[in-house]
Amino acid sequence: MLAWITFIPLIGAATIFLISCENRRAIETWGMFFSGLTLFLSLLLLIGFDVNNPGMQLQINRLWIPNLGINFRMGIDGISLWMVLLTAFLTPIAVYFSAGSIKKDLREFLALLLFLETGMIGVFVSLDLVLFYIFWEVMLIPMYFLIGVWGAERRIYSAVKFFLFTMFGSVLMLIAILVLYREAGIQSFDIEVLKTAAQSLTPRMAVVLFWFFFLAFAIKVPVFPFHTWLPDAHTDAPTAGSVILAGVLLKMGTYGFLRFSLPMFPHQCYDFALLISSLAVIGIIYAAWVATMQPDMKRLIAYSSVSHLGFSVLGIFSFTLEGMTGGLLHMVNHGLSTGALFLIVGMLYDRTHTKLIERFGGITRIMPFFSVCFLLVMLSSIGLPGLNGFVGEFLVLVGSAKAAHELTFPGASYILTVCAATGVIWGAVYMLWMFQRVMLGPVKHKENENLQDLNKREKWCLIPIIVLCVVIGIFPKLLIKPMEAPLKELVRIVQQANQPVSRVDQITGLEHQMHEFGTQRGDQ
Amino acid sequence: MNYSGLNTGNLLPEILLFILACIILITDLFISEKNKRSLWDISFFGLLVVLFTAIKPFMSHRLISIPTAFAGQAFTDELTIFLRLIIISALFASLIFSYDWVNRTPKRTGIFLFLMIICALGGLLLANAGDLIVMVIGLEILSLPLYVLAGFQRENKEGREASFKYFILGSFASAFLLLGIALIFGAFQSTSLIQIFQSKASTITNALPVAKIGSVLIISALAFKGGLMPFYAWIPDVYRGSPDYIVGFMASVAKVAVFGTLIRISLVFFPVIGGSFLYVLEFLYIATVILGNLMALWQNDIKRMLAYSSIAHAGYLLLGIMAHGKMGFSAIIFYLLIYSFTVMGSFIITGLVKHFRGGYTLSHFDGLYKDHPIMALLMTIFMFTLAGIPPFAGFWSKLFLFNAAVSADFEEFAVIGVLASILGVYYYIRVMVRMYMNPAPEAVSTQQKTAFPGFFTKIALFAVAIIIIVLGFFPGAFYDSATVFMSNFIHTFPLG
Repeated sequence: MLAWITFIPLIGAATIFLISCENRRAIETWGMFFSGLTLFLSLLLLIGFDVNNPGMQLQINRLWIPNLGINFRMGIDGISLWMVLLTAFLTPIAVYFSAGSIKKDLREFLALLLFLETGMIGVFVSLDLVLFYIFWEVMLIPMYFLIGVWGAERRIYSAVKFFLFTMFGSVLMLIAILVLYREAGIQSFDIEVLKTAAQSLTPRMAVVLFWFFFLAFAIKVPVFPFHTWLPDAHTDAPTAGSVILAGVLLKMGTYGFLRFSLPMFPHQCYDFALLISSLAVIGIIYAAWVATMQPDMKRLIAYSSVSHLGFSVLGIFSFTLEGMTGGLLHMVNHGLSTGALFLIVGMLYDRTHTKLIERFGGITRIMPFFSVCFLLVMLSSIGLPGLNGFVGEFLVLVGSAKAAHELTFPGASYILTVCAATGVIWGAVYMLWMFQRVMLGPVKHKENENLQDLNKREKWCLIPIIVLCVVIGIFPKLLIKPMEAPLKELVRIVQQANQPVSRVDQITGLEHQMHEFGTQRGDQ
Repeated sequence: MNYSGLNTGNLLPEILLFILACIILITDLFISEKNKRSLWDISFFGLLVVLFTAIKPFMSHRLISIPTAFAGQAFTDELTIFLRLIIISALFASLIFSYDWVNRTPKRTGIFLFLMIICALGGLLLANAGDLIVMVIGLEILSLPLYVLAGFQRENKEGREASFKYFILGSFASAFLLLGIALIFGAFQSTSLIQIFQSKASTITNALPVAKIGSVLIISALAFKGGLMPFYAWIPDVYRGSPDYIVGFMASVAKVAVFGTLIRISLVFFPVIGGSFLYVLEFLYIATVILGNLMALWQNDIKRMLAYSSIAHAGYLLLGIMAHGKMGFSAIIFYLLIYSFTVMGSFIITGLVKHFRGGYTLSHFDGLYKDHPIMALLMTIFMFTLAGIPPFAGFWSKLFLFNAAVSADFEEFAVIGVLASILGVYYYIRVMVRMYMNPAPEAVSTQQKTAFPGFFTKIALFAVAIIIIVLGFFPGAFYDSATVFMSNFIHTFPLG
């Protein structure tokens, strides 16, 4: 089942490539068929899914390269379930939208988009680290072409930068995987085996490997000092590319933290949690400030992504159930609302061929339906209660306030939480200000006066996302329920590895000393 | 084990190759220019027979009982099987590639086929030499045809320059090898690899420095042929000047032979000389991967870029020698197979671009996808393979190699390797930028479409691409048997 979900888009990509490039109608139909089929199959996953099982479900395990112990092992749990669904949900929308807006080489575009979907789903379901790494890298190729061929002005620069940045992080991760494999001793790249192997590393090696993994994921997220590729990539990517990039690709980093960093290096995660949370908070505030001043809408949303994902990272590295649930939920929410925001900017761009905020103003009067959608999506992105964004951010802040590193650094988590909470305000500032300048007020530019409101295709791209935003905002429990079991397990792992054993040890040690002291005195 | 026997049967593929070469040379004298095509029929048929005899032990999965021939002068063990497989299939592929090209000047068919076959034979002899003297002979038989092939297009000035440069510098390398062998002979009183292996380190304590210098000289000579860093200078010029259709073969056959030899040499000399041997390899490795990749970055000419990148690839391969075990060696074999096919394919495409657009520089690749989508797609596959990006087979060859290195506690070197490979990714994707993202120049799109040079070239290109993709999805098919054979090889080499 999982293998089908993963590879159907690839089959689709190959099929589309065989259609003649003049036949746009057939290309679109087949693209929708394959991405829709993937969505349908991944919805079927929900039926058989056991919510209370913290382990992997629907596993596949086949030998692939027996001599090295590389297996074709896939499975999902409550964490990856939502990521797969998010991917499967956003891709048909991206396909449907680009069938309308991509004029040049539609066939290649859709084929790459489906190829990309295979890579993304593969990342979320693979449980063998070599398999994971392959999907992780494979996905670079289509994204690189999507940005580089169909992108805006500086597309080549952005595409190459994207490729090299992510590649840099991931090759170090490859070395870390290989070292873990060596330490495991038994020939296997299975995640469970490597998890055990990671526990027996020397502390120094463990720290190095932790950072290798961290770097790969942090570049992808991106966590604050590694974020520079993202605004470029987003600005120059075509709309569908941006949707996928923001909606799914960035989540691979945070997913990597949850799936690999935490269970493999619980100790190191704990030790560096304060540092990483601080980076996340710096990212939240810094990116929000930078976003405020952006003249280009896509760049603004790109920076807002950095800011939003800071919340996810903060939540994950709080090691509390609330924080992690919030972080994961926020990943889904961000995928939906930022994806929709990029679609909206793309719709404006298709009409006016500009993304500069100053070229707009008073669009509400001209495109009423569009502005309702924009308003809802923007509010969900800001985190208005009742819409999806709020739940995630709130949970993250609750979790981070009682974060585990409070024990090592009293007061630190409160300071971090307060700072992160201001990030919510900054988020409202840049979003509302942009909305005001673009949509409200008098119509500033004459040429905008005869813009068409959304056509049927564009409406049907936005409506499903908005419906989901509202549904999640009202019934977040639907999403949270399956997450709980695996996340509880993760929290338990981290806490077990970092038991305040030290404190217990200290006390018993003290008793022991006192006892000895007593006996000595008794002797005297 | 029985070393004294002739065991001629073990060398059957080599002997058949030699006979084939002689038949071609002689028949060439007696047939008219019109009938030169029959030479191709002879050589394809002959090569199929050779390939069959070479594959037979591989298919039967039987361990080899007598791993030498001619009283220990040549090894015919598990490594030999793989080297034969790679070299002969590379030869076969490159003959198909160059079929249409050579047929444009049918007069040279005979000599061309003769040189190619002899060159492959030399490579096999070098890699399977059981005696240092045989190694010299092998090196010469490999090199002399290469010198001639480099200048095969006599009317091309660059080709003549390449040939001459290669010849002069190659002679130095041969001199190094001879001097090294002299020193080794002085230290061990033997040139036979088996006897050198059997002599204990303690018996040559006084002569140990001499043995060290000798082995360094031998490695230098091999490093020259393989294009490792301090001895690389000829590579870019020679590759640039050599004909596009065979430069891939020149690159791959030399690498396969050199790394086959290095595997044997390292197994023989490691126990005796040990540490200092490793230092030399480590130095060569670091210099080669870093500088090779760095210099490839600045190239504007694709052929030079591929030449420098071939230096870098030779550097990665050293990691397998350093790792020194069944994992390292089987990784080398996998890498060599993939590399040989890929490098041939990418040079052919470069040649085709020259044919259609008149030059080798990056700008000649502008917008290639618009004019020649298939060529651009094939080039993409080759570039991603060379860059080591999944799902193509190049990823696996790098993964196996780095895995072997990490397993042998060389993780620092593996880190250097992967970081250097990022540089590699940059120059490979630059080609992609040109092909897909830059618009085609005006002059080209209006130009009259030139005919595609040949049906056979096309077939061979597709075949190579299919091999790369299939091995990308199912690398185990080849790798697993390589590991099995190599583990047996290591346990028995060289004493059987």
